[in-house]
Amino acid sequence: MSVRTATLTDAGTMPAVTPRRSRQGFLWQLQRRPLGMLAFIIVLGVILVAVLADLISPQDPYRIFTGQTRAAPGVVAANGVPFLLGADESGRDILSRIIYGARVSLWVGVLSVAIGTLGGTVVGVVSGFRSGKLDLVLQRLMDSAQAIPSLVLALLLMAVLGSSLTNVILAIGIVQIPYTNRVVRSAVLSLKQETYVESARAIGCSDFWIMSRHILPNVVAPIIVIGTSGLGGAILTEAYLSFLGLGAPPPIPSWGGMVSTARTYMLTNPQLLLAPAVALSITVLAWNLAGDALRDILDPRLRNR
Amino acid sequence: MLPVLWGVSLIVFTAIRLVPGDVIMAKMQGEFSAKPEQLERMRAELGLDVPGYVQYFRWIGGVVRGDFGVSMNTFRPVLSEIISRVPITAELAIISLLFAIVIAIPIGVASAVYQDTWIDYAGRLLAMLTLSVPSFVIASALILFPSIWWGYFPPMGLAPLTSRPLENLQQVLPATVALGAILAGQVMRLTRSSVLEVLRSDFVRTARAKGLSGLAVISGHVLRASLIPVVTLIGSDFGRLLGGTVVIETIFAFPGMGLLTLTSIQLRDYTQLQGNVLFIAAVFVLFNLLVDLLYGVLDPRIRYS
Repeated sequence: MSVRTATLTDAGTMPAVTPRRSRQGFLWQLQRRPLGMLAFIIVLGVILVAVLADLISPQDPYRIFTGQTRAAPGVVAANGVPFLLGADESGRDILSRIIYGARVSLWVGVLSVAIGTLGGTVVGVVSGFRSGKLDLVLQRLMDSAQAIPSLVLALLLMAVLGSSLTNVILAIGIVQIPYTNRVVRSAVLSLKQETYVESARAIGCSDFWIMSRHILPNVVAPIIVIGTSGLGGAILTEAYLSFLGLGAPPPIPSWGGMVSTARTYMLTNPQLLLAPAVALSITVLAWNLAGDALRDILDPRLRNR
Repeated sequence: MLPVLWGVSLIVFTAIRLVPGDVIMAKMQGEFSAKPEQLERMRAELGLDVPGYVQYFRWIGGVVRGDFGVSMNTFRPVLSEIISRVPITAELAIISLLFAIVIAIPIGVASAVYQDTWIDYAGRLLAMLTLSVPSFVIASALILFPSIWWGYFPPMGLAPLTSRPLENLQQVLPATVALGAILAGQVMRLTRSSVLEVLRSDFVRTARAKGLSGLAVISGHVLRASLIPVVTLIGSDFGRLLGGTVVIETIFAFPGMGLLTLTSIQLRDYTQLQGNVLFIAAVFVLFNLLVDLLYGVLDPRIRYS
């Protein structure tokens, strides 16, 4: 512990960041960014809430207490448990729905980002490495997809796929592919010029081998950064889709959907709207800040930008 | 530019044809009296009885001649429907853009000039907030809080800009704040990083060395050089602004392109939706072209290359 304190004070007095220090642990790096640290704590908290939803939620999020619609915070439900944040327009416990909503938004966020980064990486690596006609066709397709506003494209895909949670994940994932593709492809284009790729080809490695063994490991860092920064955006897109009524179908607790229905009672029962809105905003903010901090740590060249 | 739009037309057309159910089914919801042969006749009238590729060539052939077909819902020409909806969306987009530029660029510059002071932290946090809080939450707050605090409501029903401009602006301004927020956040962040980079360059040191005041250096030397990436961003984010109008116009019930796009998705109005997406993509592509031309004005080195 005393050693760590010494290094910290060192860092405070020494002006330049030496490469040796930047190689120190992830947590140590994070410690120097209070906002990033806070963001990671909130993100961990949201993940914990999502995972433990069954244990910590005071009520069943689907249970309807008839006659207690829009009950004020603190009112005790028919089964003796108080509504800590009140009840919604159907008489369901808002807090429980927010807790389960964390699970839904995290699930959608993580899986859609996985689809988006995986798809974008495959397209980007193949397209950048192979170049030629395949590259041309794929990139024109990606350009075209990017010319459609991503929310409109996601809405279009939801209409095509039909409303279900799986399809929300698919739609948001597909929309992210062109963005990941662009970053990965440009990284691959510069990696292709490296001597080790040339030598791998000289000793007769197959394209697939070079792509998976020599190119892919070198684009992992930017992929992690895109993924983390994309998570906030994916959660946001899910909220937008649910808000517009084209997201996860109604009984599923989704923060965006909760805000959408709460708008009708906004002036008489503002807590209906504020609770999911605050949960959503803080979660997205935390993911975005965490993504920023991660980028700073993983890519020191971007520091101070 | 044209290949991208052609790609967009293909993506939209194939995506829409995969939608389960069609406009006839959407219209006939609840009407059990319709006989199968009646439905067939209606499909034939709308040109839905021929194979998909024939439909595509009929449609794209018309588009090339400026004929976007007839809305399957209102039976009015798609293009005239679009033209009647464009003014309000254009007004929203332009004011949002101005709002984002006028507010975000000074904050971004201040954030960079006073790097690592409270001004910088406040600016960065504000930027992150605008990127994280969903526009529907901002919009709801802009309606909710004035009504609680001052009992103020914007006038109901959209007033025309030409005859009652003041009333119109009262209604449009909260919408543009919510719509411009994301763009403003992006512009702030990029302005900050771009200015930071330029501040370190040799010509800034020279300007300082020959005795120019801080303000003269910033306005005369730094700003112009650092605006190029910001202009690119504004060009590419314009599409996101257009996508955002779907949400904002739904909240405020403005009869613009965004609302039209959403309703045509809900009603499975193929022709209208195709026309809308193609139109939005064309505006986006044109805007990017405009940005490319603007480079030459901002940076004379680019002009002849």
